[in-house]
Amino acid sequence: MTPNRDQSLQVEHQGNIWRAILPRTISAELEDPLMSMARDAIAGGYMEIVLDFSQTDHADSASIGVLILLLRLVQELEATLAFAGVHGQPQVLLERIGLGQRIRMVEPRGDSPSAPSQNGP
Amino acid sequence: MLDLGSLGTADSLRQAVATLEKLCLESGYSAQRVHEITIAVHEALTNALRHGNGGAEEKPIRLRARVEGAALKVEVEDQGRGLQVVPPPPDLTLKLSGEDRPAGWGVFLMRSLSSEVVFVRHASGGAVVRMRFEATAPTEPVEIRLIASEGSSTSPQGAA
Repeated sequence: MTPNRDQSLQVEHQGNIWRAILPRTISAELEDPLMSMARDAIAGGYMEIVLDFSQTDHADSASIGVLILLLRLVQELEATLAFAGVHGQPQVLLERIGLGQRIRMVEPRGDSPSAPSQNGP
Repeated sequence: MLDLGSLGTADSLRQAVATLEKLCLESGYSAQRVHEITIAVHEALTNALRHGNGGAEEKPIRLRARVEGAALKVEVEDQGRGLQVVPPPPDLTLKLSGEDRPAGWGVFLMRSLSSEVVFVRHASGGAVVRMRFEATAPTEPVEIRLIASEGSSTSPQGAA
């Protein structure tokens, strides 16, 4: 996969898993594309949503708001959410606000997030 | 010593944080602590742009930082009126349930990751937030002091 060094959102599908590879920096601008694409993915039958942070080295508090909105959406639509590849500054941020402890972590690639989840339906 | 004036755009703030990160690493802070420091300072800078300067990128923001002994002291100055009221600590459960708005983490992160946070509002205009960072983050969010002008603390705020 080409490193996601621009600010676009890349998407992969496998089975009923929808995986979004987040860009290097995430902030409030992530909200519209991520929410729209995730809603469409769940409507299309992808009930396991994975956000891949492997290439993300900076997140701010506005991006936390986006992640909370996504988790609300996923729960409302009875899908599940997992994070993958969280490291560095985003990991520190997620742990500090407590979100890192609420979301299941999976391997960045090739790992099904099918295990029981606290945030699942 | 770091003194970056005339910041204002979101890009310039990100670059300033990157410069601060380099200073921290050169000063011997751990990678974990550097992440914590830059998170807090980025939130202060973002607040300066969004709230202090009302989103007006032409209004200057100044970032100053210096290492004193084991502590890093940081100041972020904007053209606004300063923090008027300390927001209550965010409740993640309420935010996840939709009972509270998802945003509102900035001040909490600043007080969680620094050993001291002081908001100073200058009578002549403009405001400064001062933060002090020790080698490790505090175990609990620190109290925030609001100062109306240098020398007179008006409303010390309790931490929650």
